[in-house]
Amino acid sequence: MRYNKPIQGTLTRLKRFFWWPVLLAGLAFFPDDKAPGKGNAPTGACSKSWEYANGYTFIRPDLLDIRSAYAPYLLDWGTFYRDSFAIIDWQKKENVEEWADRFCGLPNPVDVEDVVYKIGNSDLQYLDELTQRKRGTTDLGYPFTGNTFAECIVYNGCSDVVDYLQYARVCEAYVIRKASKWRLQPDNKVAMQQLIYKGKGALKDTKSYFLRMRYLYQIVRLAHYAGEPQQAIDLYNDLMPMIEFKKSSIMFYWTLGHIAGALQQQGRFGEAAYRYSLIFRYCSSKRTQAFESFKIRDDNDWNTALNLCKNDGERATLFLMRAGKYRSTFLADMEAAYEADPGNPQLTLLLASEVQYLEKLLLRTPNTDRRFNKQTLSKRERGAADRLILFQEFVRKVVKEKKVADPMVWRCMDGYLEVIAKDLYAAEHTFQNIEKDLPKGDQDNVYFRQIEIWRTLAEMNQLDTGARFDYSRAAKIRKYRSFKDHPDLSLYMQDMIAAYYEGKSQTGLSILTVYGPNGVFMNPSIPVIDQMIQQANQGNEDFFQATAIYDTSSARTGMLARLINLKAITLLNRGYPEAALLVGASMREADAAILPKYSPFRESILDRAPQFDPVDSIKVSSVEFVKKLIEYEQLAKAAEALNQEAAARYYYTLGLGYYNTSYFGYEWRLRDTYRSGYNWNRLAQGPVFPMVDTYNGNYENTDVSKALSYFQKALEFSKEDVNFTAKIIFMAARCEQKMWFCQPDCTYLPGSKLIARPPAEYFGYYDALLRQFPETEFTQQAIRECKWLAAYQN
Amino acid sequence: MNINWFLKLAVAAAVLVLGIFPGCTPPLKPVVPAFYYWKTTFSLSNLEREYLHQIHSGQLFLKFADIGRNPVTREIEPFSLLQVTDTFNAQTLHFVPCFFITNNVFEAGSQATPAWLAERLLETVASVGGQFGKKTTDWTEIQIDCDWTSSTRTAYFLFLQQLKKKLSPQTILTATIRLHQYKNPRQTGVPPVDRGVLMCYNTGDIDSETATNSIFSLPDAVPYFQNAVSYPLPLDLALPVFSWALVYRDAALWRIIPETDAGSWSDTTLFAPSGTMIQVKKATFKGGQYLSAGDRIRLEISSPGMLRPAIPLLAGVQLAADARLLFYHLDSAAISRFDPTFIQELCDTINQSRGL
Repeated sequence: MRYNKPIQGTLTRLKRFFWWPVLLAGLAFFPDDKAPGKGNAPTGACSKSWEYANGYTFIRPDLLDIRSAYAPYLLDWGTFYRDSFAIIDWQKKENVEEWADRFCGLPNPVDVEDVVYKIGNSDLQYLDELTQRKRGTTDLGYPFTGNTFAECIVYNGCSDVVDYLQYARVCEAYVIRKASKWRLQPDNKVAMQQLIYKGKGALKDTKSYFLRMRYLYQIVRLAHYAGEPQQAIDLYNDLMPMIEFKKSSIMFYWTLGHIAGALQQQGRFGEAAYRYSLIFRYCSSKRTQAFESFKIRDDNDWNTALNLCKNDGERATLFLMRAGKYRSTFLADMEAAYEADPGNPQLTLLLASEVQYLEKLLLRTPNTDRRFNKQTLSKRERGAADRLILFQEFVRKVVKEKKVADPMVWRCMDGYLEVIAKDLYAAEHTFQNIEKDLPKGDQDNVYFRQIEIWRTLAEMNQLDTGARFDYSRAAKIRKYRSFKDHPDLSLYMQDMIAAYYEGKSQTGLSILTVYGPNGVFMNPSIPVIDQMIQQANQGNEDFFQATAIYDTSSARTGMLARLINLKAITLLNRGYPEAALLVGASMREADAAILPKYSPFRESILDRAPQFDPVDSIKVSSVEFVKKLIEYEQLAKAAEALNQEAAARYYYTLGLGYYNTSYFGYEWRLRDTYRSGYNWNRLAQGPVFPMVDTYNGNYENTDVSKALSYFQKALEFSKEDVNFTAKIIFMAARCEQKMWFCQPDCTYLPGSKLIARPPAEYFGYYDALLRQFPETEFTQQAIRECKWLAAYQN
Repeated sequence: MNINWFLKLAVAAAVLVLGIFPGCTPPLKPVVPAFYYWKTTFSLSNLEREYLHQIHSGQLFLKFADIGRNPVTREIEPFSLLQVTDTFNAQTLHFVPCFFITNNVFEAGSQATPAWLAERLLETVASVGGQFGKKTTDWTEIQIDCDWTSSTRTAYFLFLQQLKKKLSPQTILTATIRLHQYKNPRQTGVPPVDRGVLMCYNTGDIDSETATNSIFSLPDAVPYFQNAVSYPLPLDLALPVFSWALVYRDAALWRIIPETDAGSWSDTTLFAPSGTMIQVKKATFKGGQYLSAGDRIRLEISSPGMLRPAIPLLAGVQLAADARLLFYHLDSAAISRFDPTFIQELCDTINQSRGL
């Protein structure tokens, strides 16, 4: 039967379509059923079968056929595929195209997608009625107004198509997981067998081979998922002869996928692998599943699969899959695939795959490893040179024989391999030869631009990193178009410069180069800061080069001042305020004058904002803060010696200063560079918390024991003023509460609406406040403002 | 005599009685053997049933699911939910649902709350356990296996607290304890559960090509028990009966081939002994992996000979009064290597050390 239909009417979009679960969404052909080791990663996690080395790639994605559905299995651009390529639903796309093609390309693919995947069952039922009532017309009305696929179906009276779509919907309910992933699928074997029976009847009744193939797919899939592999194979063998192919159909390969899965279930892995290789070769919409499900247990399985191949092309695919999946005999597999089928376009992807592997192993510095947290790379590098030489030999042979599908890509890669091998003279020679064969004047041509990147890389590799780094040449390279185009060049340059600093034992500059200021400032190290301050004071050029982008002051003192300040507050945090004072004093007065100022001695009931009359609202910079702390300490001690109650005031103020500048205080900036709110969720792990893009995490001032000790001293001397005593107790209670928050067994969840209930050992001061000073003006005010305190009172 | 005074006297008397008559603490019971069942399909073979019968083991710790992160979406998901295909005589066994949770489930950036995860886990207990005709409240014990670290401890422990809250009072919550966690409870924390299972295996460095045996090595194990403080949880003991082949390539661990035996590496056209290792001579498929010439293999096979010297050490571990001796894990290969008499010998020796 042929379908003809003159398209009429406007193609308005259907509005009232329900979301329907993706009708023919991908499922793995065969669930993995191996038992993982206790403590090993769970099975079922879909992942690449081999690991790429983490590192940089200097290959432009558009040099290759990035639209090729093979690319994601063989190449690695990290997020590139996840963000742009992998989101294409090939399965849906090819299915829609095949439906549209079945109607001679007349329906709009969007309309096909709507009818096949989106409309609700009642609309499909209505479409069935329309095929009976309105055959030969295209005026379908709501909800099919302007839907060209529905028009084709109705005009031609294709009730068999609608019957099939309805049948497929019913089948879908049994093979697509709808329930929570945390539950087993319900056992529907009886219903599935009934559907198989019904599908067999429909297959025999319909005259359309197109629909017969689809019915066969549905019933084989049902049998496979019902856990009846032999039935799936039998159905395929019995019914396939009833289908005549005038045109290849993706449904054949989709069905074959379930046959392969059924064969694996029966332990026939070699036969299954052969079928998966056919799917991988011919059917892009099931390529992912075929690649993931391709599994060879032993050499017998491999030989079985190889013996089933009918021609060199099929054999080449098996070798390509083995190379891509296992990478154990990569070059040998590639050579075998090349000998069997030199024009196979996948060879080019495998070429790029191996080049990516080699570039990541050989174009890296110790800082690259650190950045990617892959210390094993240096071990793998051992064999990489030999691997590179052998691979270069093969690539040169292929280039010479000119049998491959993309000879220009192979020539380019030949040149790039010479760059990786540091044979820059040969690389330049190769690039010049390539450029002679490229269209003149088209500098935006992908090959030109790719060669530009590799030339830049070659120039970077020539930078002198011996006695003195060639900053002026590096600055020149930074201005190249290719440098700006390809982000990995910039990162690699950073790694190279950082490696140079490390070679000169300038750890701080190395950290600064790779991580930026966060690396140095988040969890400061005194020796590193000292080294950097010394370099700055000596006018070391490396220091000014490394800090140039972070230090925009004309006097070039901004970074130095920040470092001095950092050292001072680090010393203060470690309990050495006097040392901090000395360090702070070394800062130029002009720099000290512009340090930001805060109010660390203000009183407040809540952590978020000052609430009531301040005792002391002076604003101080970090340098002044240290001075004040020392001054108050001296005054407190003097008053203590004279047994004056003023000691209580000074100790209280000191406690306030330390509490307010802690992680929990509103003036934390005086003693820290960065405070992460997320760390509230994991206080017990502190005071150093893991943080991305930092050298060694982020230090937070979560310890308030010093503040508590000052409040305790203040209590010793607070005798007359009960209101003031209540204030001190309240602050001590807050310290205790925060100390409880930092305990591993703390049950309080940050952000919880529930009241935090510290255990008795952390509740002493709250208890004392509410028992001994409930009627003071301060306590009453605190109860009004602090809901927790009010709750504790009850 | 007022009531307060009377109460004090009663408490003092109780303390005195308990101190004089230690029999008032829970009485020691002989350790009983039990096995982990770590496959994804439950169907005991006749051999396995017979073996459990011979060692007088009525308990089977069944892995109900692995819980990890979806590598693409990063969502927390269960993997490999246990499918029960044969419940023949299952009612004669006492099952304990187990969950292996990967550490990254509790890593920073998780949007899932501990309560949410606890609820989902119980959803799986209900669904998978339903295959045995059981409700969630019917289970007397649930075990969690997670190798927590300092960065995940808080989240993991909060999850355990939430799970414990949601369990019925008659269900106890147990958790696995690694050796380093046993040795340093102050640093690593003690999970908030009813009892722990001390995993006496994975003592060596699996990533090191030069290690002798990463599954269990007595010299590696000894330091974990030296000066170990009394662990603040009642403990069971878990021992290895599994095997694997570790494949090293370019001096780094490349793949693990589970459940292997020495015989399958005896083809001298493919493999050659190289010191304590095996060198691959020619590329070959083995255990679903494609080995390359030059790969180096270390076979690690648990055996009675490996565990026997460790018995005195293990007998010294302070176990729960009603401790169980668990073995990881039940399969035909383990059964063939571990004769029932050896299992009995192990239990007897530990019982003797407990004065039973």
